[in-house]
Amino acid sequence: MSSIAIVSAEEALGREIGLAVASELDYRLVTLKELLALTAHDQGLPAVQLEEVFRTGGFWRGRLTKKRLCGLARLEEQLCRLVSADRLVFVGYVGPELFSQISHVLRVLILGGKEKSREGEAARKWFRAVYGRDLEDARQYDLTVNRGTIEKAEAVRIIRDTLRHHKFSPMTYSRQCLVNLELSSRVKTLLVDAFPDVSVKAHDGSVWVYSAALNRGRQQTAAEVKQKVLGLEGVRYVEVYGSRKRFDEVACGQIR
Amino acid sequence: MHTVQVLLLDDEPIVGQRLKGGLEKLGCEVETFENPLQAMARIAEKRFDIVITDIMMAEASGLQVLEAVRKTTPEAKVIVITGYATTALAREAMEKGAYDMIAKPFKPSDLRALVIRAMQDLGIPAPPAA
Amino acid sequence: MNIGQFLRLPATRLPPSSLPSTSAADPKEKGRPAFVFRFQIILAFAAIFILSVAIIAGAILTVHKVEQLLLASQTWQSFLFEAEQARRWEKNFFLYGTNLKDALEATQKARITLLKNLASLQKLTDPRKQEEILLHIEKYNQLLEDLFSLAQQGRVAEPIKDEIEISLRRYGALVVDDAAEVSHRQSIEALSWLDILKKVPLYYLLFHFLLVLCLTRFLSHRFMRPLNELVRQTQRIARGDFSSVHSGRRYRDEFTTMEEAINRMLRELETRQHSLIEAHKLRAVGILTAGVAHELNNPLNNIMLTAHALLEEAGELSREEVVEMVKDIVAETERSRAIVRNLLDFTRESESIMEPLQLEKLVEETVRLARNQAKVKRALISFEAEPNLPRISGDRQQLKQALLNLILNALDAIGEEGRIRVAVRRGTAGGLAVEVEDNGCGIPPQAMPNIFDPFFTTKPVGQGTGLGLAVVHGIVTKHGGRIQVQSRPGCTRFEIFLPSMETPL
Repeated sequence: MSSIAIVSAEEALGREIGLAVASELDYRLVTLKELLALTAHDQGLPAVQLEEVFRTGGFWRGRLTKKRLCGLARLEEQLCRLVSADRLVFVGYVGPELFSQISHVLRVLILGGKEKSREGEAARKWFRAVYGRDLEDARQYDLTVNRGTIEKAEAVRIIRDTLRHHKFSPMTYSRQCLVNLELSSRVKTLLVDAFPDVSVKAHDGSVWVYSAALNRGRQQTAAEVKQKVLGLEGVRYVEVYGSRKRFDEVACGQIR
Repeated sequence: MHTVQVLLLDDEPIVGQRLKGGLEKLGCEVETFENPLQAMARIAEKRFDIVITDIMMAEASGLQVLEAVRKTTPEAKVIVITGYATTALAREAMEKGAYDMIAKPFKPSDLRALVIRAMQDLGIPAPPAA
Repeated sequence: MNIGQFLRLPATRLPPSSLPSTSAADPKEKGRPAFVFRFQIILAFAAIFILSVAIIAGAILTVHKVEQLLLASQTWQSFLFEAEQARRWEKNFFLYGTNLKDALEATQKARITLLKNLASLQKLTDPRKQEEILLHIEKYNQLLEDLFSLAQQGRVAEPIKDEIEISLRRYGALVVDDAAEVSHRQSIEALSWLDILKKVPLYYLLFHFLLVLCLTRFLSHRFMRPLNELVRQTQRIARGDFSSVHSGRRYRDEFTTMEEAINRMLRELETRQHSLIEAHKLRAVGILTAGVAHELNNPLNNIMLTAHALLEEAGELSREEVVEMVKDIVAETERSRAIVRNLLDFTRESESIMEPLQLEKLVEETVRLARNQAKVKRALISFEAEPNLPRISGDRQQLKQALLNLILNALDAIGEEGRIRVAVRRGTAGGLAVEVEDNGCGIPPQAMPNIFDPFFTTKPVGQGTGLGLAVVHGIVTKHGGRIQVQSRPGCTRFEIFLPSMETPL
């Protein structure tokens, strides 16, 4: 079944709608706070470290520090797992690119009324710093509900009706996408401690790992990484690249 | 007993050649096409239970085939296979009434599993071979 | 004035701080003698100044001359007065026998006046005349003296007296007439000089006006011609032709320096253009990914299906069937490799090499590159070429990129039922023409003049860099060709004309 991602800068607004939608559809509700708690529990991490991820300010060169990147990777992995279990209403603003790749996740943006809370501002700022775009850019979402003009009950009805569209039903392709995402998030969690800049793509058991720390001079490290990733469940094949540019060069070089 | 009628359309002839045998083993009667126009003409004259179609073809789009099937036999299950799968395409196909979508390259077993599921949804018991 | 300051030797022209690339300036530019505009302007104004000095000096000299003439005339006047006085006394003597002494005194005075100013008069009076007057006055004086001494002795015989009287009268008349004439002539001369003095400033004013007019015309012509030339050149550059600027002028001047600066800029621009083309190529590849993904996934799918069929049905297949399937796998692998090679051939960064090319083949390859992208957009691309076309000389990759940009643009422009027609045919004057025609929304007329400008785009922010057509234009111009566009809603046609190797365009 489909899942719903409810994104709002104002936590209370999102939770209110999320709760109503979840009870209406009999879906599981997970808020950002609950995601934190679940991750801390499952991964055996101190909750403080995960809370630290969402602190505004303290960005190093406009990026999250290594520790916070590790925390974020674990949160996204946890979220992937939750979405895989289906019938989920998630309220929070992590992993927007995660949802954009899965056609059976309905992405809903809830806009508040006129007043903007300090927490809301902090969330917008954090989102911009981490994902490099506006939290409230409607183009990222399938549905935008303005709570300034739409009542709660009507908002729930709209979300429910939209979800009934056949286009948000899961299919083999979107499930496969989710499986790929889940695998890549697991690989990322595995590597992010050692390589904070790591980016991972996965497809059907094949994994591509990119990190500047894995360029040609470090074949030993690359081999170790390969071995480590191959140990994960569901991984059949691993490629390690220093950077995407390197990949292009390698490909061109082979042709020449 | 009614034999499941399957139409398989892909402009790559190998797809039809390789998949036909496997589907027949499931007890289906399979007709393969490489040209979407011919396939649509066939759809107009014969009832198919399951239609498997590629999306990007020179003469017509698989989505047109999908629409044609939905018009003539709305209960038929249309499985879309595509070499360029995107969220947007997936949603478009689903909205137009596709049963499922699978991205190329896929394993024959992936498609067979889909066909079996479609057969079950059609109320036809799965063959013991599967 | 230090001429060398203006007519600098070419070797000393470049400032020591100039970049190494500057010193690589065209030797042709450096070989020319320098004749800078500052020097030209100074020369023109110096000429005017010298002329003015001459005129003023002439005026001063003339005034001086008039002064001299007036003085001389005055001297002659006083001489004349004394001479006339003498003659009056002389007349009295002959009439009444008195005043002879006075006559003598007056004659002496006249004589002295003349002798005193002899030097200054000499220059202004006809020397023969002056000599004559002097001689006559001497004679007159002599006669008077003779008369005087005779009178003192008291023996002035009537016949002698008459004889002397006749001579005296003759000489007296001569002296007075001549002196009057000289004086008159001199005052007339002075007047005529004054007349000149009066007219010359007027003429000079007129002449000066004409001179300034001519100079202004000449200088502005000298400025405007290279300036217009530069404007023409910059327009050419703006159209994307980055070949260097050369003026045909004989001398180096400020414009030469400017040309060198522009040429330096052009070299820089060309480097930038090159990297722009490279960067844009990667963007085109990014756009192509959809098509390539589809194109590549098809043979991959075939391989996957065939390999799995082999795995699953290994026991049941005949040897022939197995061989057939393995052959399929090999063929499909070849196909994948060709796709990747085609794409990478395009992406590969390389030196620009001009080589003989079959344009229609190149265009066909490019169309193939874009065909799958067209499938994604559900558009049809047709390709046609006239048979037996001559070859062209060009850079394979760059031409491919130019065409690809046009085709991708066309793909962006078309909507439902999109059709793109690509054709290669003979153009005018033995060249070749490539047409890319689409049935899309067309280019708005107000955008037409700007479409080849860098960073001009009609697409929404974030969708176009506005460099595609600028890159196309740059590439086409580099190949000595030109590009034309006609557009109305429902039909936009880009035509690239390229010179063939048979006949230059």
